[in-house]
Amino acid sequence: MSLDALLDRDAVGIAAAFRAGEASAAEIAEAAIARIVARNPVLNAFTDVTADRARARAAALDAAKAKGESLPPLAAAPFAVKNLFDIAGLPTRAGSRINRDLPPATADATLVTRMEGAGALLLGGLNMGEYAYDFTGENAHDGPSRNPHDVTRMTGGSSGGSGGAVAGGLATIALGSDTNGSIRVPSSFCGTFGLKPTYGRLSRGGSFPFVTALDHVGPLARSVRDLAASYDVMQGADARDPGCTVRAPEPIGSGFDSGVEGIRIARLGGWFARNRLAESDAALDLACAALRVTEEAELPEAERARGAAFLITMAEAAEFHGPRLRTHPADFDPAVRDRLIAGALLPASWVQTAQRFRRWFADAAASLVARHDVLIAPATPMSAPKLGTQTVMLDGVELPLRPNIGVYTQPISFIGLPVVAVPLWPAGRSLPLAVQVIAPAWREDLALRVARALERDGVARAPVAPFGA
Amino acid sequence: MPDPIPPDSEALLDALLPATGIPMDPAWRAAVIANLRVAGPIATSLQLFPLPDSTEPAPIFEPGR
Repeated sequence: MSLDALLDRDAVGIAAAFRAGEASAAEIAEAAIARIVARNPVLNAFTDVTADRARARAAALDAAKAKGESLPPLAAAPFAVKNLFDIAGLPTRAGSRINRDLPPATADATLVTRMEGAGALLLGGLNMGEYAYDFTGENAHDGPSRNPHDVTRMTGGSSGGSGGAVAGGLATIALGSDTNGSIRVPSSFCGTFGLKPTYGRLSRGGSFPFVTALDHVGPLARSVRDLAASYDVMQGADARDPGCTVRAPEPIGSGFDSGVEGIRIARLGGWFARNRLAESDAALDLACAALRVTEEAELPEAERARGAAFLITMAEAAEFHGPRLRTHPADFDPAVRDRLIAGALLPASWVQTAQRFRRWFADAAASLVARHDVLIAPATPMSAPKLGTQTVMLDGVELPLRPNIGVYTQPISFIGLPVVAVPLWPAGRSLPLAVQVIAPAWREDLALRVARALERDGVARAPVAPFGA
Repeated sequence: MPDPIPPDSEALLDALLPATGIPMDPAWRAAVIANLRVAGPIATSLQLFPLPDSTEPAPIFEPGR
């Protein structure tokens, strides 16, 4: 097998190849860098490439192996991070023009440190929608990240470069953030697995915030075992993130492959059965048929929940960006700026009502997940639209595309439940689409087991797109 | 108790923008108002929902952390 072809394996597979002596870490790093040089001009997934850093880490791994030292679980697996994660030596641009004038980060984000501690090779920072306020993967300053399965289409956002890098074979694992759907949407459009863990499970230390009440971070990958392996090495308390749990880590290990027997699964109806296109129906039907799901459940008031998340997002993001809005308003992406200015004008009582509603909705969801261990819902109403698309027809009504991409993801992140986005390939369609596998709080294990069952059955898969698609 | 009335987005903008200190170019006004017109009905819908008095807001502050 050529070194380049080796890069199509998942992270655990590449680490195994390195341990078995199929390739050195240095060779893997060079192949990964060469692939970025070849493909990134088309995919526009990377905004910064940390080639020297990857080479240095690879040399250290090769030296450790030569000395017979034990090797960490993700040794020599190439990974990358959305450019809102601090990478020492680079300004944390968070998709913006304004932030590139910041001094370079003096330390890495906590999760970058933990992934490197597990042996993974950091290749660089990834394109994203400005300040994460985006569902498309388009960026007014860096250009759009492009979908590897059809480069005329959106990656989804805001972790657009993360979806593009993983589906395009430029990284095995990419870290993203998800406030209202920004891991799950690119997973759906690019056909990758994605894990949005329970709110507070993984540290946001050293990442540039969007809406702290709703911000989550997690991995996108091409296999469930890579989600599980990276999730395990990234868990743990962190004083840098006041929202990070102090619960002891609960590693998944190989438990993700223990089947779905005994897990009570239902598909979500109501809000989650409205406003979607046929391809989204087809993906959901595929997943439910494979899992033999016959029950339907309803999460009450999901539409209001989506609205409440929308208001909290507007207001919190506007407050956070207030100083920049007052000093550099013309330097924002106009679409982001206009939403932020509107957010700065929302009466405080609206936001407080939304936060109280959040409590009510979380309680309603807890009652539901007491009856069903796992809920299945679509991730997006449609597969990847063409870049530049402004509107979409849903249930016969023409609606603005951007806010409607996240209609199914927003109510779930609003209450912090863990979700695995699982990519499916409905028959007769060339583009993927994901379903959300939703579990009770702190039960990522259940969502990963269901995702793995779909992967093992061959229903779900996340292949590297042929380059030039 | 009367139901909440969806706000007049233009009036909201004109009343509150000066308090924010944000220097808004008049060319941005229409887009900002369009965003307020999305937010207003959402707020009204939430205000119409009968939340029990016992329902506390979701964020928790933990002293000492």
